[in-house]
Amino acid sequence: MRVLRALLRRLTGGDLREIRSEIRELRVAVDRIDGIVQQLNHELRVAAEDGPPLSIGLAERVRLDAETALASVRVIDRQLRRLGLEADGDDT
Amino acid sequence: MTGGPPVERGAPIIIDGRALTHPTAAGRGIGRWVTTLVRSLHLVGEEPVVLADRAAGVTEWKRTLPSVDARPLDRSSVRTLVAEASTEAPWFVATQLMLHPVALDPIPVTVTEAGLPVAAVMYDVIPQRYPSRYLANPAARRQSELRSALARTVDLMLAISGFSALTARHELDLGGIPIVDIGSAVEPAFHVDTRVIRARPGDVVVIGGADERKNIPRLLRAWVQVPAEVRSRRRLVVVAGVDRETHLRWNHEVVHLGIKDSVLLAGGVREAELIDLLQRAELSVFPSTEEGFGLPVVEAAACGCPVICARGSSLDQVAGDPEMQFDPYDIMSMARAIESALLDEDHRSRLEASARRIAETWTPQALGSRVVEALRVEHRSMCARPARRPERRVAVGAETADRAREIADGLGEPVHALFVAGDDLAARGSGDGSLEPSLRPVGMFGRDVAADEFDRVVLDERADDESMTGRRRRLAENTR
Repeated sequence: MRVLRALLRRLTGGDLREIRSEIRELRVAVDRIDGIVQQLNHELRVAAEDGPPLSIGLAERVRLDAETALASVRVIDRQLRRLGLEADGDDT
Repeated sequence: MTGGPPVERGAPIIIDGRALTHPTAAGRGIGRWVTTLVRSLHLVGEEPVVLADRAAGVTEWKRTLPSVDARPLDRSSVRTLVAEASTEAPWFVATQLMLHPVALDPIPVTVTEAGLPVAAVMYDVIPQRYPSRYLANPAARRQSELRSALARTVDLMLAISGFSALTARHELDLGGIPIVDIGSAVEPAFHVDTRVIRARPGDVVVIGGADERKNIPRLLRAWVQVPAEVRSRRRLVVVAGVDRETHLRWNHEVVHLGIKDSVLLAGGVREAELIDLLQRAELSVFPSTEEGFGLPVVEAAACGCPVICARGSSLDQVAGDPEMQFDPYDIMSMARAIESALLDEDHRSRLEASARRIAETWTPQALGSRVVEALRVEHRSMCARPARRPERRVAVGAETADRAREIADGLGEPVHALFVAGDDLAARGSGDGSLEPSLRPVGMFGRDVAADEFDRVVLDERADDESMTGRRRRLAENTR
């Protein structure tokens, strides 16, 4: 983030506006992925609870992957939000 | 603070206190560590705000530390804290980043939205250092990689030892993120009781666990090498809450080695029992081959018990005296260290002096001072940018999308998400199997929606009690 902060200081107003707009679009996409993965995770949990015992192991494995995917989205979201804060904080 | 000029107080330090009611961390390990941290900050004049897991978490914090300022971790709490901190953003201390299994939101989304500087507590990277042992499952490995990525987004790392700082920088590829060694501290419950007589010969207490690095089987073999006349008048008490399979294996080993009469596999004990054991014990031995800190060494020392421990990892720093250490991979080295600590009076006096020094070093006051120094002095510049108020977010839940939209239209404020029952969701699936992205299942409330995701959740009051919406409504009422 320090490197990005230094880079952002060198950009012009137009560049920054474009970056902010890109970040906003990426965040909308990430938000959408977040919703879909949350839903997938939820449905897998419900399926694991309702399913016959033999399928629980498999469902549990897939659920772990879904949670990892969900957490991945949250990490990307945090990275983008921080980038957005850096871009917004620059007054050039 | 213990010395130097007074530190200028800014916004309160915010501590993630959810570990206290976490299903696996509560009452031990990280849960206990966070309690010590908050107590330590109070001792040096700070008034930290603890963000707890809903109302139940707040109640548990008040029960543990009655004077604590505990609030639920939600958008409203973060917004209030941002409003109170007008010019300087408050620190958020993330205490769950290294929790096992990985928590879904070790850095809550509201904290990121508010742009709060984050200091994450680094306990250890033992799973990352030994992936074949701890991360054999591909899912666990993927989660670990994710944790590393998240670790690289924090502003500051607070490591509980120099060893933990060093290994974390390498294993998590932390680049330029500053890491401060804040150490750890022993809880005041561990103390010398002058009314209790330390038995000699008496118990040799070992704190361990089923984990291979805790090194219990090797210690049992070392105990065999201690002369029989020394062993016969003493008892090796192994304190370790382990599964039945491990207990049976150790028991078999004890019988096989012929030391059944001088070994007690005590299992897990309550804190009060452990303190009593350490106050009466003749010696404490900590043979672990790798630790993030090594609290059992300090706990024994705080109870006035002479203690010896393994060489290497954080224990070199915690013990601070090579004379009290042994090679944890060498059975004879361990046996000699035990025998000498029990029989050599000069050596024993030096161990007692070391125990006093350890107890005086790793105090809550010292921990509090180091944290304050790191956050308020060394890295204060990270708080320079004012925090932002997280936007208000509202969600509506109902049995059908049409009903959810009807409620949303009547609320008089923007609604960010609609949650509907599964049947209606399925009916709205498009031809390619995907769902309308703005709709999510109402059943997600109570387990899949983070507590700080929405300010207000309106669940249809007209929905039948037995419907999914009705069930979630009851759950929300019960957990409020």
